[in-house]
Amino acid sequence: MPQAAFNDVIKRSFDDLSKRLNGSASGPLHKMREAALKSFIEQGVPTTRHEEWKYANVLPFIGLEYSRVSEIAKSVTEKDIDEALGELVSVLESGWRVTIVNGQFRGDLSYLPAAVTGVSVDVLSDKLIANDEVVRAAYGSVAKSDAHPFVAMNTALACDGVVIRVAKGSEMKRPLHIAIISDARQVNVLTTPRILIVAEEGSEIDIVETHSTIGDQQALDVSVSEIAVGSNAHVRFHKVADDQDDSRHIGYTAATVARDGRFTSHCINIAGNFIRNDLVINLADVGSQAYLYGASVLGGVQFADSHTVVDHAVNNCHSEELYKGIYDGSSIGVFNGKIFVRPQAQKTTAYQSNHSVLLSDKAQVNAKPQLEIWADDVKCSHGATLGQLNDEAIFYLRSRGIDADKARALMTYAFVAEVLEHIDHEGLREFCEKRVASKLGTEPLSL
Amino acid sequence: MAQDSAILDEVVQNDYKYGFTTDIEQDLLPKGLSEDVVRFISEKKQEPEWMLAWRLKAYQQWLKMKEPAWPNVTYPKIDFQEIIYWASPKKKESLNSLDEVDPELLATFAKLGIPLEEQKFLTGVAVDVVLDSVSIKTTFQDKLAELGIIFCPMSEAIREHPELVKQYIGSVVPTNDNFYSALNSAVFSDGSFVYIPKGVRCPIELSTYFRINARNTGQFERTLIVADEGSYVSYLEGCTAPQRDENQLHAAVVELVAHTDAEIKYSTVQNWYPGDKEGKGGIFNFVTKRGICQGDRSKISWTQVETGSAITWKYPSVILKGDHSIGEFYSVAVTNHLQQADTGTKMMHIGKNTRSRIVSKGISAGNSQNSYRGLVKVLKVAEGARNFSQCDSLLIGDACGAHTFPYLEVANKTATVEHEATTSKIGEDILFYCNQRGIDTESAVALIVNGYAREVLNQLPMEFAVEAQKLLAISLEGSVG
Repeated sequence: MPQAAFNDVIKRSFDDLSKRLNGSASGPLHKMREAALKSFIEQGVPTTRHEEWKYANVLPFIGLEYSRVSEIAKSVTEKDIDEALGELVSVLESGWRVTIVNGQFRGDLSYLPAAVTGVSVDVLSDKLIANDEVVRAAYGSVAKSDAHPFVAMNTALACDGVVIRVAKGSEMKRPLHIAIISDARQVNVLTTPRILIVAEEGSEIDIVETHSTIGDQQALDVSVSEIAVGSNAHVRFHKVADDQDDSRHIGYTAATVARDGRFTSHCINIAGNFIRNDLVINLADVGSQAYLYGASVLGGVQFADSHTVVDHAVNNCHSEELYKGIYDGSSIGVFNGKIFVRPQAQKTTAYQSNHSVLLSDKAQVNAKPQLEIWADDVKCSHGATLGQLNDEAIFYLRSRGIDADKARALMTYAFVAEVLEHIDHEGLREFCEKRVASKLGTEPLSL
Repeated sequence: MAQDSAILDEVVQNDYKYGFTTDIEQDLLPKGLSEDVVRFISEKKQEPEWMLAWRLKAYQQWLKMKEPAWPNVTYPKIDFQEIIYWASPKKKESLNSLDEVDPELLATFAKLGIPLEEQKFLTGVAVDVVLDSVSIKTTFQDKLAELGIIFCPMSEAIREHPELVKQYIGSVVPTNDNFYSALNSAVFSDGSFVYIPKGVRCPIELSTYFRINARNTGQFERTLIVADEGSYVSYLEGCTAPQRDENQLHAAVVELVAHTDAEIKYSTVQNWYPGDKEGKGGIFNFVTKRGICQGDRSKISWTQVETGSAITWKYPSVILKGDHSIGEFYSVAVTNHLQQADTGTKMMHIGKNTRSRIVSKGISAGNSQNSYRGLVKVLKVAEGARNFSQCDSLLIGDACGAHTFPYLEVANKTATVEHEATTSKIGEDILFYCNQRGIDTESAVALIVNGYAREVLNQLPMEFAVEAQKLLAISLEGSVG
């Protein structure tokens, strides 16, 4: 039973972690871990019989023997990271970087804004929880353990949670890159990175989260990011999955948005074997807004599952969502987008659309756009289309002297570009456009 | 707004119009289900050995199954040993003419607005009346027989046409398909059987009026419609039930088989007792309806107007197996008070160039919950499949809910699948526009609700369209507009 083996790995890792805590086992963090472990065991590893995991089968790789620590990870150098990140390093050079290797914060590999006021990076500790009311309120409550088995698992095992705070009114001009590295050079590793981002009132920041694997062994990266967006704050969150071909990632991002706050996310899936992203947004106060953009460009045997939830908890909030996918080879794409409108959330506007194109006979796509509405004075809609490229448009391009393959590549690129063009950060947008274009066998166009 | 709330109050206080019980003596089997009960039912209906074996197999499968918990509805747990599985009106030996029918029964139909005599002579609709478990009277049978059409109670079909029943029963909805289909297969009491021979176009709309009439009896209908090559049939199903306190379970199974170039149109108007304002009583309607487009260019069309039942839980589906076959689903579901509806469809695209169209209109009022749940599945072999789905929800009042759970699963690149859904209330700007043109709010709301459901109502046969509009009026319009 792969589930039982996995549960054993988790329990053992939890015990190891408790031993290493040296007396702080009575602190609030450890209490949360204990509760989370209990919750994880109760929820169990999801199978495809579980509604939320209907298309995402984790059993093939969950039963592997995973290590939690890899001695060699300490020897990860700047060069290793640069290699893993590739071109992205130069794209985000002007910004700051928080580096996490196998779930542990690495100050020596990070570039932190020491002299700049407005942003601070700390490692989560009992002391921080005790002293900082905002951190205490947000940690473990934006992303709840009982909502998702892998959030519970992450909470039980996360040791170096990274807390990023953007001070009141600070407008960060440079992006903050969270580089999450799984070092699988020696053994199979299971990593549990944990991020908490607190954007205080009126602040503004660009966050770029990437996940990279180094080494030839198997890595399973189960990460959780919690984001508390303060009133009038604006967080632009980007998650680019452009990892090794055999990498596996289960990610959970949760954001709660305060009064008149704004949260924008861009999730771009390009490379990686198994990508599961849950994005859960709680519009918690009046006037808050969420904009969700996502694109999957898959081929080969890739699998990408995007689960999004926009929860309209109060009145006068607005959300927009656009997810697109291109599936080639025998790849499988999943989109599950939920919109909840609670009884008191009158005057809600929520729009969602999801479009997919299949390029090959073996590719598959499963979509489930879901609306659950308990308030009457709302305007909500969703649209989903699954189809193919317009033959007439291809014919038009061919009549202009563009060959069939090129025409198809252009069309598919333009299809995805509609999502990419919403990325505000110019360097990152160009990087994504270039990666997508090269995967589709064309070049970026300036549209 | 004051006017609006007055309107809403009226909606909420609108009671069930068809609430009355007919007192007819009945044969009742004690409560509970066991192998003996299955044997008793089979014996009572003078069924051949193979039918009993089929029922018993289903019963064994049912014992191993669990009650499904995934629908978006809540209800008290059903005790399957508290249900009476057999009830038939005490009757005289033969019923060749209406004179022999219990006069009280005839009065019941008169109250429901379906005077048998009038229908027989004036409307040209053949009515196979099912009162609880035994079919009392079938009209027009002789006329249909001339064309070779078989339209008779299921129990009669089992005796008279065993080869047809044996071939098709359970072929679309297998006994072990789900918990309630297994239960139905074990204990089904009666239902309609229709067979349209090759190339025959059924000249009249076939119709059955169901009525649940005995206290605490579950109604387990079994309907089977087979349209042979190049034939056409339109079938109407309609229901009203008397007011009572205890929840009643209704677990019907409907199977449709359309052969090459055949077309089946199945229309339902469902208005069972929905429970009172506190949600007490009311029918649980857990139905399995499925059709298969077996041959090329065949077509199955489901149209339903759902206004009744405490809980409606059904997904009339089409398996598009033949090349170029067509599946359609048109639905209006109205929920009020504490009603819950979880309904939708499944379209399974298997053949080449198959097409499906889904139009679902939900209207929620009061404290009700209305869900659309649908699946559009395009298999790898289904070249050129085409689907269009539209599911709209209209909310009246701020205490109700509308939910959409569409599943789209596509494994063929030549498929085109489109789904769109909207949820809104009647826009203030639209009402304002109507007011400005001299239409008062009440009429404006009526106009909008009517227009909103029109696309589906238009699909109904003439005879039913009238009744459906009446039902909408009773459920909502009489008070809203």
